[in-house]
Amino acid sequence: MIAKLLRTLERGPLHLVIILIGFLWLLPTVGLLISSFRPEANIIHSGWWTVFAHPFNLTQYTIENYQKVLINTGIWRSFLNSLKITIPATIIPVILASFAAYAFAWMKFRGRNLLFLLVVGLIVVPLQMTFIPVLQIYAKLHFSGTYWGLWLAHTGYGLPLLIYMLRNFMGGLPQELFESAFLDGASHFAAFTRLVLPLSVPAIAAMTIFQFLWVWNDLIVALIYVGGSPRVAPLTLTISNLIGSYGEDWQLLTAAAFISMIVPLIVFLSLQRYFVRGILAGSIKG
Amino acid sequence: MLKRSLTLLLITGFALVAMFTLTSSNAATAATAMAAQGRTLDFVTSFAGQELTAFQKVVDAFTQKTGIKVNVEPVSRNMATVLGARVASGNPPDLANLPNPGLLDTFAQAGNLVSLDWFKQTAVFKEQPKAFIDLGTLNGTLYGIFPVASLKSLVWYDPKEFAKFGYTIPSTFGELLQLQDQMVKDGNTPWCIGLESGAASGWPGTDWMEDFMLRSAGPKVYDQWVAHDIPWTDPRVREVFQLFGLFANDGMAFGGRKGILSTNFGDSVAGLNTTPPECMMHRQATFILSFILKAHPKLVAGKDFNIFPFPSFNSGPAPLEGGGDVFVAFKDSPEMHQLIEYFASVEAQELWAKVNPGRLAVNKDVPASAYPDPVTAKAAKILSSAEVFRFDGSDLMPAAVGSGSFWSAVLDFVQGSKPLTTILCNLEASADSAYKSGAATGPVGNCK
Repeated sequence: MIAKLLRTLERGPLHLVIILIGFLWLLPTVGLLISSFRPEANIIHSGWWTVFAHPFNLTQYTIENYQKVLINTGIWRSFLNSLKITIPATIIPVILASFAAYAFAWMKFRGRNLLFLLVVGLIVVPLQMTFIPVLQIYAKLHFSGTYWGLWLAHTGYGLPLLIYMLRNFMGGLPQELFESAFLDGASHFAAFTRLVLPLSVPAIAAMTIFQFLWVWNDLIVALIYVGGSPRVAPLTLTISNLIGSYGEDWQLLTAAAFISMIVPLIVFLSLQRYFVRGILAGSIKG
Repeated sequence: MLKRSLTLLLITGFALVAMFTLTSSNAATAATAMAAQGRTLDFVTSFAGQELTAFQKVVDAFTQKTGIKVNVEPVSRNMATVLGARVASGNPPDLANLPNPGLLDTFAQAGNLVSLDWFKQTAVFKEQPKAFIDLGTLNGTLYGIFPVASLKSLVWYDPKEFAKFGYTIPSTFGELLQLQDQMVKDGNTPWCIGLESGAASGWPGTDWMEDFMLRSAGPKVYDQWVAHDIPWTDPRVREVFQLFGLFANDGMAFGGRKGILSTNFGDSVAGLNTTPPECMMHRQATFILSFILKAHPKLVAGKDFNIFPFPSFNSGPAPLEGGGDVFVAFKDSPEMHQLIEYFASVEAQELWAKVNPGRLAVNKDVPASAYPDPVTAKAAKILSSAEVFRFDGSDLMPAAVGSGSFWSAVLDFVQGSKPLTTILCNLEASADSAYKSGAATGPVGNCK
């Protein structure tokens, strides 16, 4: 009884600190959320915290910002475009990276370490540097302006980090497992599908979230490879156009930000039980 | 169990990829089919929000008239990146609007732009003011046209407040100084100034100083200053900063220095029409009209707010500063010629002025009746009667100075945290590394 009480007391400061950090972390987002429900004129004249003076005075809230964003801005089309871009550009690199990671971790071939070093080295290449040379190739292959080209680009940009993280995770699996599997006559493919894949689910899920968020939030890669016309533009571009040439419509941005947050939130929440385990991927090398 | 769900996941994944691949390859073939017809122009634009909607309307009218389709690609603030990459990779758009003539020079010197000299033979050429044709010309070749512009040297005020206190519109700089002293005596705050603009904070101050430079030293020195033929440590540049200090100061502007620094440029104008008014005057370009109406939707242009040109030092007509987008072409085609001619025409600009409040038509033959309100019509009249017109100087300077150190110098100066000599020396140092030409580039300034 007393021990329990003591433990609670001991943990009190810790909880307090965690709550405080959580509060500070959330504060900007809460402010954004409240602003998104305030009329434009109020946003200019007073801060979002002033709603707490009369929190139940409903006249100070409005859904006009959401209405304006959802109607006549082409946001639905770009929402679909974003899904069309993001889903393949997440699945393709994650699948390829798992294959490659297995090969780097458990298949013996000449130049394996050199090749792996090369892949790891690619992580530090700024993607802005690749735009012009890649576009030159795309122009010859008639790839620019198509989703094909964009998926390929996102795959290329995502692969080095995904391979690195997954290889380190898969490399950490116990060697005895593979020895007995190979003794029983398992091929590499069987070892990969029956052993490695089931054991790597946390890491793969975590990498899927990383890659998904990165592609979903991307503006510049899409803009460079498929262009800005509304037919193909992703959500990020449509939202950045909402704000206006002089930034005069930024109240629309508050509502649009929450609309674009929905999908990443769903993805994150549905995969989060893997995420916590998977975030340790590669942190301890076996 | 786990294995099965994973296999399922993989299969779904591949199926999804296959599905999207099919749908998108259809879209791709459609796009190539359209290009094969040769009737679609690709236009990369930096217009966004309401300006984009207005631009799209002007373009739609062109498509309706000629049957030529225009694919408008809004890229918002990423103009330089997108154009740079597309031009370098050999896949430029047909046309684009560049936010300043400095970019035009860059692309033209690299040989990326198509000459528009044929435009001089067209009927609409005579309707273009020489000042804007000169701005689109480099080394005798015309590369760009300005369909619409904005006028910057304007002071906004509330006529009702002016009538109440018996204030008259100043016609010289001296009268303006007297007027603001009178306002202070009456217990009013003369100015609303807001310098905050996110990463671009400080830019409204550069417009003030450019207006002072045009007035105190004249257009010739202004050009030398922009070209870096005189150093930032020049006494005439120093004077411009000091003049700005007469306005952006405690007691002269609402909220004092702190208020000036922390108020957003678009929000500060709202102070003209609050009850009681926070200030009597606001210096800003034509586009601020939409911000006034946003803050106070019920106001009537001409009755509740009006404009006068920022006065000159002598009694002559005020020299004017403005800005605008220059339209350039990267690929030559008969359709492009038609579109350029259309943008320069009275027809297009009349429509444009109607759908985009705050944008002034450049074509001299656009009637005042084209403007939806008397204030914009007045601004257009001021612009068309200009004797001296200069493009926004900070937009012409290299980006490291004009959209970098100059902005932060404005903030430092208003904050008063550094002596003016230090601020100017820092500016000169950044200009020395940013400019490729200019007589003052190099160790000329007397900074240690």
